[in-house]
Amino acid sequence: MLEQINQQIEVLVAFMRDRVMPLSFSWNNKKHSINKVNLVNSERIGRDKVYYYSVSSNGNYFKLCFNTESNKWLLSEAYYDN
Amino acid sequence: MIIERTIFHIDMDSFFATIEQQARPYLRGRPIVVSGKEGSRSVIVASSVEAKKLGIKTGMLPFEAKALCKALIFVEPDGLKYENASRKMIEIFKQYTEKVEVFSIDEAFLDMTGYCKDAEQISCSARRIKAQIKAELGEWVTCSVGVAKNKLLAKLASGLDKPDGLFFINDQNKEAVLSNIELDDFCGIGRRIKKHLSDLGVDTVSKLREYPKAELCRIFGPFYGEKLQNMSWGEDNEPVTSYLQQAEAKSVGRSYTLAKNTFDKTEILTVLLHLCEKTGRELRRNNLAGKTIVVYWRYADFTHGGVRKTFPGYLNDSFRFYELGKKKISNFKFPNAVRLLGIHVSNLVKDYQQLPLFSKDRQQKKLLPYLDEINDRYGELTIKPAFLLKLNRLRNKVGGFRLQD
Repeated sequence: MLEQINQQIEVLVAFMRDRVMPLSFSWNNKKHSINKVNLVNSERIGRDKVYYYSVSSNGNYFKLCFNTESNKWLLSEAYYDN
Repeated sequence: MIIERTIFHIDMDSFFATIEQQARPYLRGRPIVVSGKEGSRSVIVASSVEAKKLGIKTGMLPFEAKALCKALIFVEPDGLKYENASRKMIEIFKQYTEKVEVFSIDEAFLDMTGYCKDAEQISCSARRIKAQIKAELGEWVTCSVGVAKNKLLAKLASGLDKPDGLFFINDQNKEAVLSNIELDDFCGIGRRIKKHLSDLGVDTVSKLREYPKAELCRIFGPFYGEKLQNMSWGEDNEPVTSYLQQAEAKSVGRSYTLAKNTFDKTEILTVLLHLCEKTGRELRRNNLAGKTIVVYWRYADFTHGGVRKTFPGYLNDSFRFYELGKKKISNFKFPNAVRLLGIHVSNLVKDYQQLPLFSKDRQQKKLLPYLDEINDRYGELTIKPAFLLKLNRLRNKVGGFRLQD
């Protein structure tokens, strides 16, 4: 079931040559390894640039948001079994 | 020597729905529609390939779609995702030719004349574009490519092999294709024109060819009459207008369907002011100003009302637009409940600099850049008219705004 979460989280990322790749994140006292980044999109909110990462982790779906102005990561939504 | 043109029409398959399936793998392979919630007033904006197979079409009401498939999944539109994907798609096309005409958010024409010398090279380019779309937008995202010597036939061709297709119309198969299509398969013949033609006894391409051109011109006008006849022969000389040459906007506007039909003038005026703010902001962001303002509304029975005025000078001040609508609406008794509101500014000019005559207007003109700068820095509607305070609940949706639940 799809749930709106909107919680700040810690994310481990790799800075590649031309993109940022989230590798894993911690949520609910559990580390979630990201198997695949399915879609990336971005928007400007005022001068802030926010990136949205739709990712898969062990068959579950999560949407992560990264605000480049505040350097904060947010878990926006999740669809998970366990 | 006349060089035969090579035009590609690239149409993303079930674009909005496919992008949602790309973002959320649990939706893949399942019938989904991009729409408002089940039971809402919105229509189906897009349906997935799986939903289309069950007969679910764009424009259907949610309950009609649900009647066709009990397991149908409703996904709320996320315009941001689609815009981003569309921008990436156009960037890919621009790597193949400088003549890319963006036809809509999910389709474009590419003039590949000179880049492909024969059928093999055409096929190779088309497959490379398809592969690059998959690589950059995602493995679930597909497109259909139509190839022909003009835009009319290329667009027709892309619809003949969907999804993930590649179809050529050339001199060898053109007649066979044209004899097997409906008139409204042509881009430019809609339901209304098809009905009009059918009333004249013209219901196939061959009958359209035989119909006297002079009669078509008399009935549909000299331009469209001739165009219809040319269509029947698969002829079209329209150039692909490159993104570098595309015309400036001719008008700017916003519309919004209310959550419920209403007679409440305060609610109507509040939404109108919001729409005026958005329109004014867009005009100013693009250094545009307009002379002709239309404020319109649609009633519950889908009839229309509104006010139109052409001012002597050019305007881009949201509040002046609002004043026009307010003046009309305040003294107006709506004969029916209002379901949609809109504003439309046309007769545009770029970089208009004339100073207003009255000091009050000059003050307002001086103030606007500061208000815009605050909103640019901190986000839309950070600073706004007090009348809009309760509109914090409005948020963007595809094609407009809606009230959040």
